[in-house]
Amino acid sequence: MELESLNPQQLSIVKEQLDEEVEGLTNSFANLRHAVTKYKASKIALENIDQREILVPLTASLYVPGRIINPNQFMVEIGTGYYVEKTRVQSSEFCTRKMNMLMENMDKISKMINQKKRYLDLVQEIMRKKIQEFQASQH
Amino acid sequence: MSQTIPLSQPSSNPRKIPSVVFFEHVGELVAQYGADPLLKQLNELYSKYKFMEAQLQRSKQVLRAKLPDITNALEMVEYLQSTQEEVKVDFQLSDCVWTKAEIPQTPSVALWLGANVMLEYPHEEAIDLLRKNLGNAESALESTNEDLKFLKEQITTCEVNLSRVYNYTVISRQGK
Repeated sequence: MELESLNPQQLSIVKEQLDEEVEGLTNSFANLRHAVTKYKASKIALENIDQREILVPLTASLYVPGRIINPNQFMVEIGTGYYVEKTRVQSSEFCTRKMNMLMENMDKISKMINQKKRYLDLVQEIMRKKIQEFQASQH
Repeated sequence: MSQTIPLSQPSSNPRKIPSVVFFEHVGELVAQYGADPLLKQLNELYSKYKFMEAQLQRSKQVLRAKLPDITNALEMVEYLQSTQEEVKVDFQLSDCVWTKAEIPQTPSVALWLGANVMLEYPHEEAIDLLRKNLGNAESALESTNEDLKFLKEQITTCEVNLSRVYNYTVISRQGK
């Protein structure tokens, strides 16, 4: 796109578009980070499970003392509504794989955000120049 | 000089939300108080009602989310009380990990009351507490809905008043 050939109004439209894109990407980035934290917490929980007595949550506000039947058997949600039985090691590996995939995506998005930000800076620079030229031509 | 214009009056609303006075004779009011003060105070009143409406909408959502949770907890405690043997459950260890646990017969359950407080209750007391909470939440939801309906009427009256005063000023300016 030939930025130099655009007038200030068109440039400001481009700038607005870029602002929106950066905001959208930053939101996605935050969501991904949130998901990574959840998988990290799952891994920690997996490691700490053993046969001791625990307070089992039956709802968000109701807990009952109980014991885990098999500390090596877990059900992992691999998609919306799809659960698979896995051993402790397998579940931990699953969480690690998911985390890595999410962190890869996070990297890609942060690269895109930086690229858009650089483009945005360029657009603003050219806008400033154009406005100065315009003002100079008025005198 | 600014005087408080009587824009609202006490109403029959149980939560004592004032109702808006409908402007029967716009001309008289404009003559008495001036169009600008009228419009300004009407706008203030309007934004107060809108703000309250937003608040009630938020608390309605919170209540709507709490109700199923209390109902489920109540059902579970009743089931635990009625069953004579161990119960096997699948419970959520974390966001995507579930595991099986067995719950032996216990005389008591623990209820999370919020604010980092959890108390142990025997089955009967837990059922009573949950029933009471359920009743409170349901009646709070009902009164919130009632208030929202009432507020909608007041907001409409306020809007009508605003447009009538505004139209009156426009017409009287054209007349001059």
